[in-house]
Amino acid sequence: MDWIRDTFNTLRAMNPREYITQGMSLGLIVTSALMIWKTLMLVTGSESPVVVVLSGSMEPAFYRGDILFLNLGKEPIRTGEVVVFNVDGRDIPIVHRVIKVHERASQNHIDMLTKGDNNYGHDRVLYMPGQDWLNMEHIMGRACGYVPYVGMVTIIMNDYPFVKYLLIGVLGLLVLTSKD
Amino acid sequence: MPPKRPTRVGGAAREDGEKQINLGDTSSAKHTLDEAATEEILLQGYKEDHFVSNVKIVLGAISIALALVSQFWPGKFHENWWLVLGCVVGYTLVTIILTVFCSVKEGNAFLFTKKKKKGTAGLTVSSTLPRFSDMYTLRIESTAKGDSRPAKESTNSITKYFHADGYLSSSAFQDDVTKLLHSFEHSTKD
Repeated sequence: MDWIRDTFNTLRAMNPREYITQGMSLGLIVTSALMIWKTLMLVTGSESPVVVVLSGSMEPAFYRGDILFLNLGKEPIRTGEVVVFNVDGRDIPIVHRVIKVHERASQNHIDMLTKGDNNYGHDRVLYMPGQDWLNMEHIMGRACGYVPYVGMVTIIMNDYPFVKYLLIGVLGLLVLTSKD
Repeated sequence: MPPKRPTRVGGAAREDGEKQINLGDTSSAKHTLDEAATEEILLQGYKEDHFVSNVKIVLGAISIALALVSQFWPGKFHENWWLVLGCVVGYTLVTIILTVFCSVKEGNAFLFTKKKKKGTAGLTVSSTLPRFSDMYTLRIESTAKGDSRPAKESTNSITKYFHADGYLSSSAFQDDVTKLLHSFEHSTKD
């Protein structure tokens, strides 16, 4: 409890200039993480280069809580590739495998059908009503690497938002009161 | 008559404003001594020069603004690829400038002051406390390069200034600071 009193006293003893400087260091730490994320976005061409697998529909390849690295690339998507896609009307992206591809070479248009490895049927029930195929604009990227289990942290923070706020609050307080 | 010292509240303080630290925490000891030295030098009539601090704040604000633009500028990702690239490159450049500026201009210094009298330049006050040592070195030099007064340093063990229970003896430390300051002010190139 001494720690809390000392933190409070340190905060109270700072003058406005110190507040601004410490706030600036906090902001710089946060924005440097953001910039690393943006660089990943630029390099992979995908709007979300790292995603967490949220369901068990791709077992035994990917389990709930795995982290997937995505890459978009210019090559056309082929069957067998695992893609992450967004459907209008759903805000969570889905990770499934492409099982059918129809390509019209002359018009550079591609239709895809996906299915989760662990699901009974294909994904047409998940698409928008009236939509039978996925196109390139729905695809966020292809999975090109994964790290198991680490994504559970994100899932916990989503299911229990107070963990997120607690973590950010503690980190922010530590930075603001650091003696450097 | 000696200048009136203001009471300070920070860390765990006694009623007369003395600061207490954990003696095992050397960075806290250095920070406490730096703050006490700053207080003493400002009491001796010097005003703090905020130039370096202002530049750091401005550069930091520009970096953060670039980051916010790259995140919140309207437009879907792939169309604004060039904008995001520009923001990332700009952010990297500004943070590099900020880091270089800090290490070149500041080094170990924790206080810059404006000049006290006409003709002399302001002070740069820096200090070092090596990692596993208890010898604290306080160094006062002139901000202007061509000034005739050489830098003055004084090295003492921090045991000289802290009581066994962690309280800073500010009168002992601030007397030493004042002695160093006067020896600097009255020195000339020899």
